[in-house]
Amino acid sequence: MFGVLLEKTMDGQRYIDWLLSGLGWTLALAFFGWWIAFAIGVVVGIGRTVRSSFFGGLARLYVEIFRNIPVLVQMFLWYFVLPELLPSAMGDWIKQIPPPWGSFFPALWCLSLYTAARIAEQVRAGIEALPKGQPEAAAALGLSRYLTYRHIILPQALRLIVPSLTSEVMGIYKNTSVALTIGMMELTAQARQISDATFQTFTAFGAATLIYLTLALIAYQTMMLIDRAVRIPGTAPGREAVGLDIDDSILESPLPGNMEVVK
Amino acid sequence: MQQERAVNPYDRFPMVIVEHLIKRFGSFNALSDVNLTVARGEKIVLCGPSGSGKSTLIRCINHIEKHDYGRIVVDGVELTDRIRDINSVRCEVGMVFQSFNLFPHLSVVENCMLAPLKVRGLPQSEALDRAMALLRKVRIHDQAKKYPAQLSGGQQQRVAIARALCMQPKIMLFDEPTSALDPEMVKEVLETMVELANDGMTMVCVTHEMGFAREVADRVVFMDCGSIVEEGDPSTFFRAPNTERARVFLNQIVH
Ligand SMILES: Nc1ncnc2c1ncn2[C@@H]1O[C@H](COP(=O)(O)OP(=O)(O)OP(=O)(O)O)[C@@H](O)[C@H]1O
Ligand SMILES: [Mg+2]
Repeated sequence: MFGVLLEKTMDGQRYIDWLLSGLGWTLALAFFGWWIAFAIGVVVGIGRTVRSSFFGGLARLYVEIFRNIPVLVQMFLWYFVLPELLPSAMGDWIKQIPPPWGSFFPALWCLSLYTAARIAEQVRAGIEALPKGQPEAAAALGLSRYLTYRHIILPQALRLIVPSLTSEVMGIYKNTSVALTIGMMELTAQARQISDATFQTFTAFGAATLIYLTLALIAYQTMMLIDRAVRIPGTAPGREAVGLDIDDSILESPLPGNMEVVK
Repeated sequence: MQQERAVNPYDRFPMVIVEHLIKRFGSFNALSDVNLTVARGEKIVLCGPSGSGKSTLIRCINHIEKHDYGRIVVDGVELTDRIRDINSVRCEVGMVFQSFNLFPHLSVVENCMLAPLKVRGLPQSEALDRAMALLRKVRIHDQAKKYPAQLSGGQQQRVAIARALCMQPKIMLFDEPTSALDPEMVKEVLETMVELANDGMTMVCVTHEMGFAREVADRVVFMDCGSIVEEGDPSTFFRAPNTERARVFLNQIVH
């Protein structure tokens, strides 16, 4: 059934090379997009929980804007509208970025900002789920707000939200397919191209579907591993005891080797 | 350290002065005109019915709760909203909570080392030595690498005491440290607190453990409805309280 994928195309490649190239772009968008989104999402998520009404409002505004506009529309905004809004010299420069980068960067930016808004809400939920006694105990020890977020709140909140981040990981790689609308030759676009060239619609999209499913499985398994790796000893697996840590140096060196001496 | 304190000119001043303290939650007066002075080395037991404002009072002393009117002076520093460096005051005030509030993602020894490292700026080795010494003092040093969830309640509370002591505070505040514990674990925590008292620590303890109060308290302060209703030395207070409200309260906790 997938035999057609091994046939030569007009340009001397095989159709499967088209698919793999599409997969490459899909992965690149998802991977880099994820890390940008995670970084922005954590910052905005913290912003949602700070006492300052200015930063709180700013963070809220960000989330509401980027979460509530459909990804497709955001894609068009970054790709078609932004160059028109900028001063013409800058807009022309953007329009002249050669393919595929001319599509890649707007797509990456769009997916990152959209996913960041969703991650920010998860981060906020994680922070708000922590017992009030945690920041209080930190304050009672003299830790500043910064130190409290850095060493007490974030390490716990991020652990807590690993399960919900799993669906965000899956979300961003699925949303990469929207990038085809601005000319990004990612997996779905390549499948369509194969389908157009060979009239084997079922094969082309069947292959793409299988690849997407495999990616989902890998993403899911990876998140499960992370979940297990960062689990707090002594806590049962489940909602309240799971997590991811952006920062493995909670204490720069948790236990110096001379621990045994003390024992 | 005791000698050091003897030459400190601030020694003549009380550790904590609370004057005309008022704390409101919305329109509700949680504390109304509370006055309390804690001398250096003094051990005060704070008791009273639920909702009488005991927690609120000691939480105001380290500014976890911000008071509305009145004055609080801790170790010569007045706590105001504009206070630049509240954290340097909090460094000198240790606090132990009813629900332990250990940091679950840090091991026992890391719990104890975090603030000395990050707030006091101690070198790693010194923070570790201090943490281990204090964990030994509360007899839990052999659990140093475990995580809070792997300890019993009594052990967790002793870690919480060690964690607070690692900052070398000048005063310790306890908010019902034994009321979340199973009865068989109350003793080990109280013993630790008695030892601390014998070391000369200034302490304000919210507790209904009368045995503890009799043994260590210099003064028992009884609160009701946001005010201090009565205070006195423990033997007098428990045997023959002056006020009817204290009598009713004591009857209730005995039974
Ligand atoms: N954050 C808050 N918001 C609103 N009301 C509060 C808050 N904290 C305390 N109160 C109220 O203030 C009063 C005093 O509370 P506080 O916790 O100090 O009492 P307590 O003497 O410690 O009681 P308990 O023995 O139950 O711990 C109570 O009526 C309580 O409902
Ligand atoms: Mg209380």
